[in-house]
Amino acid sequence: MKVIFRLSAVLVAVLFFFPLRGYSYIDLGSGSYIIQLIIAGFVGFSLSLRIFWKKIKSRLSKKKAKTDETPDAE
Amino acid sequence: MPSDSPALPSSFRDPSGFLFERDGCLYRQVNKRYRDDYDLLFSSGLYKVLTERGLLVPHAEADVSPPDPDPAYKVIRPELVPFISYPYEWCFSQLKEAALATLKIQKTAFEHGMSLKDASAFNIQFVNGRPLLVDTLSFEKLQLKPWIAYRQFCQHFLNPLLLAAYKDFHLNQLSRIFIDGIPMSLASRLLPSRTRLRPGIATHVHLHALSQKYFSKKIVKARERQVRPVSLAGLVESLDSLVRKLNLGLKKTEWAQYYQETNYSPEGFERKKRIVEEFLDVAKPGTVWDLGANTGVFSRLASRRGIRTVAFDVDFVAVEVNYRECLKNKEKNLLPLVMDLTNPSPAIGWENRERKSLEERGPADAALALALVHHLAISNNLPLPKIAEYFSRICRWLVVEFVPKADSQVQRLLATREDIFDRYTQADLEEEFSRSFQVVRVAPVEGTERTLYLMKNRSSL
Repeated sequence: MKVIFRLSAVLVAVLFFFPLRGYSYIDLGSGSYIIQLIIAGFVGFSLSLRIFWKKIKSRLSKKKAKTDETPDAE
Repeated sequence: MPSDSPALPSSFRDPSGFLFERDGCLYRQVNKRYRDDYDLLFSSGLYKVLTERGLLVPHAEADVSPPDPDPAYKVIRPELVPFISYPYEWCFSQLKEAALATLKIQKTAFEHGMSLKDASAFNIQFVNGRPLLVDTLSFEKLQLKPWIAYRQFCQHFLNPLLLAAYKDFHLNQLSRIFIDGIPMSLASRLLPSRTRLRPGIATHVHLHALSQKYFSKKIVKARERQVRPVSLAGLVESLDSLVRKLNLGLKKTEWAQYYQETNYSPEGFERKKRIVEEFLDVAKPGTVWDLGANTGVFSRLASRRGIRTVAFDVDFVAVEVNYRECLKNKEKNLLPLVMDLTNPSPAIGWENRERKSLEERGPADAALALALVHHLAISNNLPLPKIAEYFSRICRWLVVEFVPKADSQVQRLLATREDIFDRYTQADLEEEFSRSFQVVRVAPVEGTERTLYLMKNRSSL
């Protein structure tokens, strides 16, 4: 998960500061290109869901921790 | 006829630069077209992180004139790899380690705003027992595009690993025929049907092969489609988790059990070890090739003396056992490799010069040929003069063991065939090997009928 957050931040920075261009010397091929888009889209979607679910869980656990702490504070 | 290019025959595909040799040193010319990416490799901190983690070969910028000055940006001098090995010489775990190292490098590159622009298994070499990327020019600035090296990774790493894990480990040898990796369609056809039910294999291999077939004659105008960062990371994670789960169920083979089944006593075995150690102390080699090393018991007599040792064996499982032992003990001087000495790795690729033959990667300072000659002579009908002649081309010193016909191991080889080997006697071995080698020491192994020889090559290799 940490890798994905870092990757997103780095990508935004890279795309902002450097112009896009490509010098690839190997050919990905149309078939490999399309299947990669599909797999990447699918795993990307499931990873996004996992990240989203993790965020909800962490918010809920924070709220729970707060309500648990309240009686002690009194 | 070889071309006039200054580049080494293995270094011509990538216009970013090329390897060349001068005065016995290896250099790499970096071309101007690669300048931005080369500079980014350093300014992003990626070079530092990867070299510190032992994943990328370190280099120094060299003050030598570039052989092709017009496109040249810089000349660098990479650290030397002691012995170049190829994917078709690796056992399963070596290929798996190399694949995981490639994915780890890709993940680290992502974190630094870069990406691998190729994922060739030939770019990985084993140095100090660990896989190392030896092509410094493999990185480019990260873009929101599909990973350009995805197909190459699947063909070079994923397909041979899956075929070894699900079908038969000997299929690793297909990498020798298909120099750009095992084609997706072939891997898909060879893998068992049950692999279609596994999501990772179904998508990365079977659907990948179908997609290639479907789009083979179609022009896809989707080149500018962007890929989200989370999807790029997810793709690499998905390959990583698929590769990480692959395992090779070890089978008990005749050879892997060989040391437990020797026909001589533990004392005889220890004596043989002591003689080999004594011979190594006389020859003082810097490099050793153990020919027919099995699981590497005798190779370790050399590697534990700090000698760079390559342990060759024809048996895939014996090499697997040997490599796992190396990993367990973090051994740095021993490199186990799969090699059939009756059909050693040939020179292959463009002009038959892209990948070197075994002989071109020698000579070794010393070769060990222990309990080997009787297999070559009797199981493979190789006449002694031919064996001696080949050995004289690959080593400066030779430790060779003679196993007589009376020995039960030879009797086993002769059990199902006619003994047509009149010229397989100790006197014949001495006579034939003496043409190319000078016998320096002779040591009968007490408690056995075997004899060990230390020989020095008569010609200076």
